[in-house]
Amino acid sequence: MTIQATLDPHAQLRALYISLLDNHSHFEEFKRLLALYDVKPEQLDEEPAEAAAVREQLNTKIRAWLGGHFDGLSAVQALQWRVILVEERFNVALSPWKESNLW
Amino acid sequence: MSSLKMVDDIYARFADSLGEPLKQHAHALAFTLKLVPVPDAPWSEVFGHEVTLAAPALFAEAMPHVSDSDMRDAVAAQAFAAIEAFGTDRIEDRQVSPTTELRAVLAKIRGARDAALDRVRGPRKDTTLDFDIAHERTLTSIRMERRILAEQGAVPFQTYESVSLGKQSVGFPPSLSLAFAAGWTTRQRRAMSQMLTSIWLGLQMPDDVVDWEDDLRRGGAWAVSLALTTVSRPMRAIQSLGPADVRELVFSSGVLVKMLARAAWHFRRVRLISEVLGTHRLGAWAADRERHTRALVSNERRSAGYAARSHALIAWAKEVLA
Repeated sequence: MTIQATLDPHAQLRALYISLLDNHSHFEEFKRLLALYDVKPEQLDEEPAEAAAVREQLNTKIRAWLGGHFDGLSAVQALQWRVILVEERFNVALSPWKESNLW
Repeated sequence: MSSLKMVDDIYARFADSLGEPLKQHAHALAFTLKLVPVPDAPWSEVFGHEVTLAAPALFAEAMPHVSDSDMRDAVAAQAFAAIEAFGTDRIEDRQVSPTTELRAVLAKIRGARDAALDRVRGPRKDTTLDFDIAHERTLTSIRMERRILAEQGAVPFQTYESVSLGKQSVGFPPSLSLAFAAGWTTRQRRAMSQMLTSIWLGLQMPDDVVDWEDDLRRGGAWAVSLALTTVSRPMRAIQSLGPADVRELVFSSGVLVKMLARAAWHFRRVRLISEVLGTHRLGAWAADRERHTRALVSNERRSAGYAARSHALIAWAKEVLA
């Protein structure tokens, strides 16, 4: 499914979110590439070439999913996604009693 | 004082009463159990609702003659029972290291839990009000779950629900003791029992849907065992499947939809019984959970794996799209 995005960056991010929600293959590929985006916060000013290549690959994928309308994730945004989805530092681990408190 | 603030107050007093070094470990328990990212977060910030730690306070809405002290003691018993159950579960599940300090804090919590329940229960003798029996049932169920899941065989839904309920046994005595103290009839207490069953199972099932791949990596997942009832492959073939094949098996079985739909059914039951008992806050909470879970059922049916993805993405969505 192609999701129509606009020039509005917020709408583009929303389109990406919906694409990841609705397509498991997108979600898995997104996570796989983020796992390869191994950058420390202090490196963001001078993003390593290898990481920049991964980010470019990620943005190319996203453009394909969204029908071309996507400006691209910045280094900061890519790192933010990685922290949440790969390192799971925003989502605390759940337990049987812990009904998804963020959900 | 809100019921969650009451829990914070009860727990802080308990932790302070321990003295060093246990005091420090008690204050950091939610962090130790990997429920919060920082060591000093109060319990009220661990959950998004009052039910898990303070269910008796919600039932107390329909108990006009119950005393404040009984209500506070019932909340204390519930909070300590839930917190201790987290600890036991995490240790049994090998998600945390059972250090001497952790074991000592959990033992103190069990003591505080039993003392609080004794104050509400008084001299009444009833197996439904006994934490020792409930604790044993919880432990037995946790171990039974581990054994069943490790076998990686097909398991009927009824077994899943029964073992899951057994794990929640300690969630019953505090509210039921308060019901006795409030003079509720046998019929009212039976209705409360049904509500507690549905509350704990309604909370458990969506978590089992969201966490099934993590659970599988740790040794076994209910979603996989339930999905195996829908296929006729020999077990050996199932065990040799790779992660992508197992995911396909679970997704195509429809079991995630079934688990979410059952959770919605449980929340509906809580809502309906709340109308009869007059527990309106609890009813409103259940109605909200029912609505949310039904939406997940619909989305999960449309796109398998939706609930887990939604859960994984929600922190980002709240941060960026709000």
